[in-house]
Amino acid sequence: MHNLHDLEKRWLRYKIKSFIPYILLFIVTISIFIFYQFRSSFTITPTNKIKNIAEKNVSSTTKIDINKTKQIQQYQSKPSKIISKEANSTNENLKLKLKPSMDFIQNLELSDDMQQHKTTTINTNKSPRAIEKKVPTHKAKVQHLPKKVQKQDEQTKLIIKREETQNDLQEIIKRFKNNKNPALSLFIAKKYYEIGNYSQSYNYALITNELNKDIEKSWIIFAKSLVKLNKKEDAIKMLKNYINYSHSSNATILLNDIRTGKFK
Amino acid sequence: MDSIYENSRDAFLDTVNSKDYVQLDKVSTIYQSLKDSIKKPLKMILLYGKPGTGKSMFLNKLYNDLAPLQNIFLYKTPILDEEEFYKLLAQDLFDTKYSGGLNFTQFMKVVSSKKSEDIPIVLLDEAQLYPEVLMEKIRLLSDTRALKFVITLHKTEKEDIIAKEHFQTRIWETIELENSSQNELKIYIQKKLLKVNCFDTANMFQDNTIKKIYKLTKGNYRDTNKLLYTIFDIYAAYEENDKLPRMDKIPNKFIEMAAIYSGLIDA
Repeated sequence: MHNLHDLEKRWLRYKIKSFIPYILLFIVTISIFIFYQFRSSFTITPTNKIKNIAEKNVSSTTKIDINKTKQIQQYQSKPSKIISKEANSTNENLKLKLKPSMDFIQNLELSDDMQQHKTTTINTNKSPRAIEKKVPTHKAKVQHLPKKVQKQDEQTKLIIKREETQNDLQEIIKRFKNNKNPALSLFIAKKYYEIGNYSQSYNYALITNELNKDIEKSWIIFAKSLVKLNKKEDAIKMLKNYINYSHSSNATILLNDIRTGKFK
Repeated sequence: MDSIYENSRDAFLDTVNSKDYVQLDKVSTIYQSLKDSIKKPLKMILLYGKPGTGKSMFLNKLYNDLAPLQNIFLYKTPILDEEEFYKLLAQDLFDTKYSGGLNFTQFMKVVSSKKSEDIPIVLLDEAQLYPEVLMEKIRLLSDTRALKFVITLHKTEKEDIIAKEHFQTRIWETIELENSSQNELKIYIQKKLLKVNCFDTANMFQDNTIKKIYKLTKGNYRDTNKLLYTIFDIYAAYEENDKLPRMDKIPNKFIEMAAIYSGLIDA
């Protein structure tokens, strides 16, 4: 007759032993799952980077509000310095890594005021009439003068159009801040380039490149902005690197144009 | 009075007894072909297979079936001494006792002098244990056609027995015995239990249980006997301690415990 107690003990040991591989497999699976979860939560994606920057920007705006006037004054003298610094740094790491200007992003929130300020300065330089006419239109609106209605109508139409494009651009910037879509930042860069704000077009092109390094148009705007900001050599270096990376024909044409002085 | 578990247990005692022979379709066919081969004028018949495939049971069954009809002799254990072997054969086959020594030449003379139409059949179990020299002599004896040998051999994986030189030329018939299939194993177990009127325990062997047993024994009859003997022994022990489990199915625990006890599971 068997020693049942001993046999049961041996059987129990055998059962535990036979379950060990399954238990180990389960533990390994769970550990792998947890590891990937942990890893994915701590991986900094480009969008996260931009979010972080945006968060910093928001916090910095409070400081900016305090010394708003000072910063605005500084801003007028600073842009070229900021851009030159950025251009130098980007040239060093141009091949694949391009980071947006921190100073610029800090000033993003101020862009409303800045733009208004800038457009007025540009307008004073380029079309003094527009200002002269702009002031009376406000007056006209307030005072409701009947005599200048016809002339004022034409002028107000023009002014309204310009304000709309500004508003649209601000609206797009807001949307871009929300969804970080590179198509929007490219659009903003293009618009800034069109209106001659090359520092902004440079910055938005840089952001677009950061979000998606394969958008050719963004690199071209970026290079053109650099040229416009008198950074021709930087633009040529950057384009060379980009052409090596992408073999873009449009970038090659632009490079030739810059070299030959066709594009100034 | 013994319990049903003890009766069932004893049905699986590992003994070579023709009464315990279980008629299975495949086994019956092989057995019939062996009987037919004996009728043919063959010098030697080789029955081979892995240990526990029923070779000894086959020889035993053949001996019991043919003994009333034919001059047949079964040697279950090998006679390793050559002189002793000849003397025993002379005594059994030809009723000739030798007090002194008997060598091969003398025995050949006896065989030639006693040659008759009713050729004696010599069944040699576990022939792989015979010395090679003696096996060669057996071959020469079978060449005289005065004796017919049926020998059983273990089939080893490393060495193909049939390829051995002294068998290659002499053997006229080879029969291989194999392990049972899962279905055959079920029939085997149930028939064994029904033979001893253990109907309740025979019904306990459902397909799942058979599958588990087959996985452990790979259809080997000896291992199956050993495992089932232990399973019913465990049942009997639990019955004694009043901890009897349900009757409708054999618990996996019991099968595994029996496998651990009989060495089929290394725990």
